[in-house]
Amino acid sequence: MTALVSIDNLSVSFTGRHRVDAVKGLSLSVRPGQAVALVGESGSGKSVTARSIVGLTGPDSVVTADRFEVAGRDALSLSERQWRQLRGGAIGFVLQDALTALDPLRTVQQEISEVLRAHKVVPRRQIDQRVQDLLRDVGVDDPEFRAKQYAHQLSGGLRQRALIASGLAGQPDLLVVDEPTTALDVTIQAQILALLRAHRERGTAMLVISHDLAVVSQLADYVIVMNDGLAVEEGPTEEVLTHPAHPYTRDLLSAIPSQASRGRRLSQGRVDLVAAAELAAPVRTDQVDDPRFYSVAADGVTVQPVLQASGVTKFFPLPGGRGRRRAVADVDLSLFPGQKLGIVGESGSGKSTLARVLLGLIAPDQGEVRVAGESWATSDRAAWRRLRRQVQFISQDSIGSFDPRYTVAEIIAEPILGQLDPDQVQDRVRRLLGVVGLPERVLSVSPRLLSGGQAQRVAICRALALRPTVIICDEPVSALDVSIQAQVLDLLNELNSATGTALAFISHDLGVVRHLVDQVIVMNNGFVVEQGDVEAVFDQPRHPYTQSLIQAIPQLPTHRQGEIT
Amino acid sequence: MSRPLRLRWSVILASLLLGLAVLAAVWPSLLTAIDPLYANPLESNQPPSAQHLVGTDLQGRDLLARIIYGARHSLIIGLGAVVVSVLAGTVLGLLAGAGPNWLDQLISRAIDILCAFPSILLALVFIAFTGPGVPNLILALGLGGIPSFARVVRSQVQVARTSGYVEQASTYALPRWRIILRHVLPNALGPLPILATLGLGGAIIGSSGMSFLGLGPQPPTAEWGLMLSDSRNYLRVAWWTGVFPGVALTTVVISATVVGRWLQRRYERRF
Amino acid sequence: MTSKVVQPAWSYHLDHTWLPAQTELIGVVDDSKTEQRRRGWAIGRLIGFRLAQAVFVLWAAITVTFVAVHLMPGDTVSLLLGENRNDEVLRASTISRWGLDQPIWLQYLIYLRRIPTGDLGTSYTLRKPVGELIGELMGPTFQLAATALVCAIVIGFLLAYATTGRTPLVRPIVNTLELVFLSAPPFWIGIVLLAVFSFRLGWFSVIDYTSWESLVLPVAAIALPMGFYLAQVLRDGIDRALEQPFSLTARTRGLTWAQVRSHHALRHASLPAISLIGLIAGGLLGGAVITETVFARPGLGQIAVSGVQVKDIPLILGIALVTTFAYVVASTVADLVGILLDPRLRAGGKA
Repeated sequence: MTALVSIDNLSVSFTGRHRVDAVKGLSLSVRPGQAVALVGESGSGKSVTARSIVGLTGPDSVVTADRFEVAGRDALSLSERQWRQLRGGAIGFVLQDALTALDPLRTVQQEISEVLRAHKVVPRRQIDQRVQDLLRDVGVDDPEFRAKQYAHQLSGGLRQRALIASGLAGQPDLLVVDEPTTALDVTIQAQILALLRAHRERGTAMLVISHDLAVVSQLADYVIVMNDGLAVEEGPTEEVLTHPAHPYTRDLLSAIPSQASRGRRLSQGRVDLVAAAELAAPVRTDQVDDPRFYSVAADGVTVQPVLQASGVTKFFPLPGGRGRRRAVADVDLSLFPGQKLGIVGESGSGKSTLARVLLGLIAPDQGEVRVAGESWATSDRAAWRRLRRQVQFISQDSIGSFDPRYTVAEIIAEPILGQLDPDQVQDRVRRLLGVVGLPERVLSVSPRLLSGGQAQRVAICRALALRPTVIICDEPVSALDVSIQAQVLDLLNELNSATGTALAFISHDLGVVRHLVDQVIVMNNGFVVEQGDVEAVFDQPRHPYTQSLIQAIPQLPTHRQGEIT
Repeated sequence: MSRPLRLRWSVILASLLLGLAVLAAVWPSLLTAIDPLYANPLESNQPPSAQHLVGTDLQGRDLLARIIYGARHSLIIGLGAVVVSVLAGTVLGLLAGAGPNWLDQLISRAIDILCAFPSILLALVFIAFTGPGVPNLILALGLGGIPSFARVVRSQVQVARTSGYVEQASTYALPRWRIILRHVLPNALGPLPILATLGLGGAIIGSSGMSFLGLGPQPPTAEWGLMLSDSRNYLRVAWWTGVFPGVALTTVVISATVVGRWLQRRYERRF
Repeated sequence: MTSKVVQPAWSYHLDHTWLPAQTELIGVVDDSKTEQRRRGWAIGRLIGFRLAQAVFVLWAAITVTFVAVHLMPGDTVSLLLGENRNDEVLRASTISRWGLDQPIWLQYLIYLRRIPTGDLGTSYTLRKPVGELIGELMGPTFQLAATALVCAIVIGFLLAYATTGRTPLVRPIVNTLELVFLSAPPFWIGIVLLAVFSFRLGWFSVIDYTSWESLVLPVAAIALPMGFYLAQVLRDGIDRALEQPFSLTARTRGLTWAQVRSHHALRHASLPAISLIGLIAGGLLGGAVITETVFARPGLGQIAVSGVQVKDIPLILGIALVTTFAYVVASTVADLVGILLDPRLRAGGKA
């Protein structure tokens, strides 16, 4: 059988003001019915490769190859008109993020029928019927109604299905899917993966672009691992994932946090634990009887939670004065010194609101939050300021949490400014930077020039500067590539054990939570549906919602862990 | 992109021209030795020549000298109007953006109303009530510019207030006023000089427009709008009287726009 | 991405905050049928809110003029009478007309009742009711404004369409032209047009202001700068839309650039363009002041200027109220069209 796509030694460069070589000699072939995956981190050239297959790398790009055949034609000599016949016809293309990939001013009907019209798939009269058939085919209930809606009116899952339907409308031989499940909740992700699998089994060949090895393992039978524009390793999915040959693939696999990675490091490098403890531990060695942690009563010593919520409820008004929505409902939790608590839930579960209530940034409507035994609602300003300094915050968008006019040095120094004299502040900033493994030259740099991983380290530095007893992290690694995520998770983990600073870790990523935390609470619609030791909750989930969440986690082929060290 | 923005020749040229206009306004006799009010009836409506580079007007006054001396009025009134707009707009914008909700509503609605009067008409009505004169003209034109500055400052304050860095700063137990002083104000007021530069061109057009309508300085003052207004009567015989004052005016406005745009691009690069 | 639109100097009172922002979608989308029905109500509420806002601004404008008259130092009757302040008969009739012998709140109510009926007072310099004067001169001004608006829209769309996409030769020329037209004072554009096309080439006479021929240059003087402004906003919108992922999606479906531009991008670009057209249209009556003076055409603008020179307060207030009314109507209509065209606004995301 001839291959649908057959490429030898593909190079794609962008000739703007700076020349960028995005792909540097990649070979790739997709046979009918096959599902090939391109896996890599951001900047690896995987999306550019996918776009070159439909001839849409953009006006400034130069594409060269020894051989470049698409659907049996020599793509290097295709005219624009011939390319258009391929696009949407022989090759369906599904971009990532359906919210932006579908035109917000056009209905689902208009979007899907665009393909049908462009390629005259069915006679004009049958277009409406065909759109509904296509929608039904991708598992959309009530397609007649949905076809009249706009992308923003659909939930994430339906939106993604509609986009896939438009990719399938021209009955393509090959479907290119770029990050098909990124930004979707884990249960929706599982449904979309099942949908794509079903189409594969019906014979549509696929080229899957993803950064997520677990997603790839669910879809593809052949995988190409890309790094910096090159394929570093390729082979049958099972083979590559269980017996990775290239060090990069091994690092990538070992960087994935999961149940099995618990207790080991995900990345190379190590934190100077002694320095960390000295700089950032909330309790210095000369004050072990700090009353923030222990209360000594007649019947002995009891450990006091550093952060405790009881019956916390928070309402938000709905837009247009249509009543109010319960964002957080009757949440109880306790976080003890040095502990790591995970708060998991899908989007809209109220976990970010809970984070801000715990931080004391917004007051709960009912219940209270106590920090080391004292409530945020205290009227004593001095006490309140003391609490403030004990709870610090790391947000998902750390670049946004830096004042754009400040340098890195000023950002880290800000919390401790005025508490120490200027020389001490400078010294402390420098040593904190060393602990998180950043070179001193970043001190004078503006935060917008930092990479995602560096920015997160600066945010960690700043959070540690006040020697807090608790750090609340809201999705601190969800915007990072897996290898950078690994470094940040290792850093947080080691700082926690070195300094005894407790962590409240909010995440949608169950693998990350499973890897990192001791205790976990699972949230759904503002309610805590389950809580307990992370082992117990993940191994024997009791609540149906938790069960469905854990069921939906895409699994890598097992038995790999023991072989990699 | 961390590279500094290339300083293009157009920006350099525009800055030089603006500088020239300022020089003409401050020290016109440095640029021309001719008295702008000296009338020589024998040289009435002379076309451009070696002696009179851009010609003379009906009274035989040298047009170039009048253009150079005319810069003063346009620039003073334009600058004055921008200052009025910026000051009033900033105060209103800050109050609306940082104040309580009712104050925001009050100011925002007031600005909606101000917007509903077309700016020329607003100036006309203002002059009708207060009478002509430079201070009144400055106020009249400045009034029309308030809404845009107030709205920009208000939205900038709100962006800064809800930003991640302000949320973060409130976790260090900093007092509220310190957060506003350190984070909200500097970030909200950052774009103001740029807007003021961009607004300058408009204010200069406004000021010459009012003179054109006969509501600014009175003859025989050398003023661009007034000169253009005069020229209408002799356009058939002396086209240069209608062209060159306008060229000067347009050049100044284009220069302000080019410099303002460049500042704006440079500012936006920071993010 | 930041806007590439250069703000025309002559419109500095407009500002870019009117460009409709991308509606933000917050939280979970409720896509159930009942939710969709509720959204039907939301459109109604949005439209109702916008109409209420328009009425509010009109009321406020009337109130402002009232307050302005009474805040002026000196005697209100003398202010209203201007040069005729010593005419005892006029003085008496003015006092009774404005209710100036009544308490201030009653004066306000009288005023509030009077204005919407079109009774705008009497111009004592021209010795005619202001409403009648405006009615007579509205015709030529409206003709000029309406023709100019249509021309500006045509110029804007044609220019935008001709210059979007990859046209490396045309772009710099158009950009320079744009900068000139957006920076040059409107009255100077008029003078130059007059010098070139009327006096030098003798193509269009402007003497007989009732002829169509005389309308050409004034219309051009208004429509050219506005057309360039509109073109700029449209082109910026088209370029932005073409950079969006949905444009790439459309390309992957096999559409040509031209199809993506007309089926997708143009619609996105026309949203800010419609707001702008509303603002331009609203400002045209007031902006005619200058053009009418340049071309010596009779109209609202001309009596406004002469009214200011002789301090004819009732006339000035009348014209101010009429142009404000035009502005509010035009911008409200544009907003309502925007609501109908943008499903994201229709969803009731924000008011």
